[in-house]
Amino acid sequence: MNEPVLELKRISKSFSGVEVLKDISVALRGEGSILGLVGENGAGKSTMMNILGGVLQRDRGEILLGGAPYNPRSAMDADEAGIAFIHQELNLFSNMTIAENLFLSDAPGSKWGVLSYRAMNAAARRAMQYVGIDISPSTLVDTLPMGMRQMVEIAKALSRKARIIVFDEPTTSLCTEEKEQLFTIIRDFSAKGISMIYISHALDDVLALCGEVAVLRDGSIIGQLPAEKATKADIVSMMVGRKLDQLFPYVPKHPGEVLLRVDSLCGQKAFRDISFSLRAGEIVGLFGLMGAGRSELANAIYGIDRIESGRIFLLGESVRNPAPEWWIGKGVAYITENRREEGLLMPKTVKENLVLANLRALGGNLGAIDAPREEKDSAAIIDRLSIKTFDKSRQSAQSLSGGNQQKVVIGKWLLTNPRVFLADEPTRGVDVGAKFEIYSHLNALAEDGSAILFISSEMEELIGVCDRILVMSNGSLAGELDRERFDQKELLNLAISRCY
Amino acid sequence: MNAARIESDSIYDVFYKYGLFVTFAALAVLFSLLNHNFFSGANAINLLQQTASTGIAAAGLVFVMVAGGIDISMGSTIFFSSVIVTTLTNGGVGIAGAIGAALLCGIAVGCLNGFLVSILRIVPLIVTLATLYIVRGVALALTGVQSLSFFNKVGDAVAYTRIGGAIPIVVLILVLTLCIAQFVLSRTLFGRQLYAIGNNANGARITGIKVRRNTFLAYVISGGMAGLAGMVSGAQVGVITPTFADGQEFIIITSAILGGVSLFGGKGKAFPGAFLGVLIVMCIENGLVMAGADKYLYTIVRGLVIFVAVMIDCMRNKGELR
Amino acid sequence: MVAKRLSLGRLLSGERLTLIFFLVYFLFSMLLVGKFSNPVNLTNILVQSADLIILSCGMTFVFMNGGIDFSVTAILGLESVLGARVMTLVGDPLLSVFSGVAFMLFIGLAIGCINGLTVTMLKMPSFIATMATQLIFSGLALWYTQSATIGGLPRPFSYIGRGRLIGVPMPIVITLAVVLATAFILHRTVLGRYIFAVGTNHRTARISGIPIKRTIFKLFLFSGGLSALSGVIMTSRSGAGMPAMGKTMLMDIVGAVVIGGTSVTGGSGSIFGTAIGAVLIIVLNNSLNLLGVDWFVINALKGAMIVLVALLGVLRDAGRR
Repeated sequence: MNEPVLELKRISKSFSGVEVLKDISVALRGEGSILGLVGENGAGKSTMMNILGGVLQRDRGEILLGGAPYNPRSAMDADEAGIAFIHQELNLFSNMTIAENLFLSDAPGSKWGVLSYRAMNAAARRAMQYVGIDISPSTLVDTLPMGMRQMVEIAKALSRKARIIVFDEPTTSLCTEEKEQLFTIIRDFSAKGISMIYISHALDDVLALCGEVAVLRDGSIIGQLPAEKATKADIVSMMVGRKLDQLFPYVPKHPGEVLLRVDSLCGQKAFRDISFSLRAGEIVGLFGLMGAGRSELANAIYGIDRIESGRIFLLGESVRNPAPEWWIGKGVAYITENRREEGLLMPKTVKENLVLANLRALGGNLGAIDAPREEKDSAAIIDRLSIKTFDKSRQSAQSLSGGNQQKVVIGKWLLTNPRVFLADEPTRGVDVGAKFEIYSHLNALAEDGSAILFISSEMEELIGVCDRILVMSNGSLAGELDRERFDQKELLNLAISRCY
Repeated sequence: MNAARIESDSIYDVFYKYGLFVTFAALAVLFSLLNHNFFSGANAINLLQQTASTGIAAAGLVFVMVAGGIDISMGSTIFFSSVIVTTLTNGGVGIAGAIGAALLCGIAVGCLNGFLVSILRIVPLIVTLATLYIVRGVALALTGVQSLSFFNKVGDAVAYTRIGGAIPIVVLILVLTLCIAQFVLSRTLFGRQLYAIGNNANGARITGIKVRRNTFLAYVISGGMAGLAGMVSGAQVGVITPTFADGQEFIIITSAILGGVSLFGGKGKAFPGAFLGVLIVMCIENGLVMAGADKYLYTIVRGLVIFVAVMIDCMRNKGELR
Repeated sequence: MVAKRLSLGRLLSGERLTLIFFLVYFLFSMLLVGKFSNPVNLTNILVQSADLIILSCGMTFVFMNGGIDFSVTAILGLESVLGARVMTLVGDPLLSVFSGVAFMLFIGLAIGCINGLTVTMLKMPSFIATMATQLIFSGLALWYTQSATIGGLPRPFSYIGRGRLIGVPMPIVITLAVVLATAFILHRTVLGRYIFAVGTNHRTARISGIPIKRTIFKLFLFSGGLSALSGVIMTSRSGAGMPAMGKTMLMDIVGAVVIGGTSVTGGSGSIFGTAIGAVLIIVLNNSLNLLGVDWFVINALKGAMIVLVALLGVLRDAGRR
């Protein structure tokens, strides 16, 4: 029994030419061991977990489960191999009871497809007790609080006879008591020989709970060390210890008047008490880890989600009932982080997508679309942003490369002549060349007097391009750094400061 | 993303759960005041007889709706099955054969619908709208455009026989169907998986549930029940005109929705649920009869009832604006 | 490679396929079906197409958002009888016609308004909302007249359905105008772009500043208003207000829209395609009728065609992914 329970050997994975996992080797050593896995957004954690879970296929390398090769082709394979995943978004059916959720694919005591609720409920009760909860198995999942639902998900994993459980950011929606409960169970599982991988940004928890910690950075495992020998500072250093040798096109600017100001904004649970201002001619970064609430904040400002309390001011005037229509009219643009589902009309042509936010301006008599102007405007943007399309009137957005798709989204907003730009992950999934083009364009906009809120999880680009960086952590604003004080460790520390 | 529709208001739940019973009770009280015979056993049996066909079809529809689909072709299936059964029994087939034929007709339509929806992935509304015409067309082509008489041995047997001298056979069939349907829905793996599919089809797929196979089966069951309903209502009516059961699907769908089966999937029961809905609809119709209402008012009232029923459904469950 | 794939896709694209099929079938009918090429028959086809085209254009709008409007036949019936009643009440013939037509259009728009509000405000799925309004208003029409028709319409009124403008039958003139106007609105205006965007992706449209609810609401106004217009022509031609006017037309309307290439899931469609689809449906009805095929078999065939075209749509969408 000297082989590690689970071992990833030299796993590599690329997407469209971009290496996401570079030759990583990591091991879960003994039965009952808990391995902490930390890394910034984009470090490769999700990809690694997806490969482990059979959702993605690795390009190179091998995985050994108890010494034997493990090649999952689907989620079912992983399930059968005894590996269970507790994701952030739980996969439970709200219209069913705990027992029913636990036993949807096969149920104890069932004969010829007929369920025995007695056996099911009894098994469910036992499973829940195993995770330390005594609750009626006929309770509708709908009525359970988040922490409890997670427990159901964990119980589900156990009932599938999982020997390895992967927790992905399990404490983000939990209150302190629920967290304590979770830790108790994890320790209990460990004692019972179940091995676990614990992914989290709450470094204190990771160090307290795990036997070893592996740090992932930009697709490589920087190190795997025993938790007792590591300090939080060490881990942070390893997470961000990259050499910032890439040159970013930074231009010193002179910020002008305040264009957009947000005061004590609160959204439903996602963010609280956010206040900041954007001045003309500056690029303000908004850094944070996944779940920090940045996109929710941007959505709320733009009027897509509800604001509970707080105020927004545009050029000093209070904004009531913000809505996208209104913002566009006032010259405020919003590039969302999900271009496929929110930024583009995938089956429509490049040209149609480019003019989408500016249609009102294109309407002439009787609302007729000014076709020559549409042609001119779209051609100009394609030229300006170097969008590669063989025919803007024929090629669908679907068939463009990721970088070009993103440029189309940016181009769409540029056509509305915005003075304020809310950009959420504008360079996500974009190749290096296109990224730099985008930075240059953002600079040009800022030099022209626009204010830009640059939301990103990539520390490098924020440090390279922004004038100052705001950091959100777990729904609140943890701090702000000016350009002179930009420091990777400091940024990460702020980002995890409120994660508990 | 867990597409669950999280209800924060359990008060609505409670209200709705008992609201159905309350409504029915209120109607019952109202009618008993208007007609002294209402609470008698004979009247109850009478009511059940009237609702038998719709109740059987509604029980089948629940399977499809719970899985998130819809079937508006049931009227044609009922017609198809009734003309086939009539023709066969007029040619000498006995009751067992009649029941078998009715089920087979329904299952055939169900297979067609299921195939087009689950395998070919065409939108259920369009599929069942098309099969509504296709099936009636085939039925009329097979038997000619004429009124068929179901006044034969089997027809009479189905319409008039009373088990133990008291319970009409159609009521027995109804009760059996409801029990079996509700049993399958609530106590079998298949049934539970349908609810899962209706709640979150993608999540169901990830959990390993065979979504396509299950939805196909749901349509087959719905079709089969409609077929059975066709034999029952054909026997009760006796004469099958070319427009028999035209528009019947509206009543069946209304009953289901009134009975708490959500258009958006994942919710609802055959019994009491949909059946209670059928009873309420029947009570309303009987009420109209007793009030001596103009025959054209029926459609208007039916429209209003569907409207209210769906409005309530939409308040509790959310879908996209289409 | 990409270019090649695109051109094949365009060949198979809804409208072109329909047009090709239509031309082929028309030719076939002209040559092989007995009385088809008779000029009286052809004029008949043209006039009948007029009604269907206008109705289908209206329905196309609702389909653009993946919805459907079952109430169009009810609108036809209700406005026919109510409009007829108004016309018999007003004395002066010309005033009577104007007020009658105005009222009829108003009814269509009013019901369209109810449908639109139900879908956007009450958030009811359009198929069941319009199913409900269909029952309510068709019932209303029948109840109001007790299944009787209302005759005695002012003479000038029949001009709309039976008159000619420079030798061309009025219905055809009106239809042409409708097709051109709606094609212009859907394909050449800002509102049209809004409609395409909303039908493709609600979220993207919303974030890009497009008023979703208002746009969807207008779709039902179009459907209601155009149905009403068609009803005016139909009532004029029949000379009486009929409560069950157009009752059996639903299948043809849906058929015209689907076969014309409009996607049932929304986001793409064409007025011209719908118009061709409508003429094709009438030609099918007519020629198969002349061949002695029963009406219910014709309906079944049309149903099968709808399924086939919908399947093509599914395949096209899947291929695109």
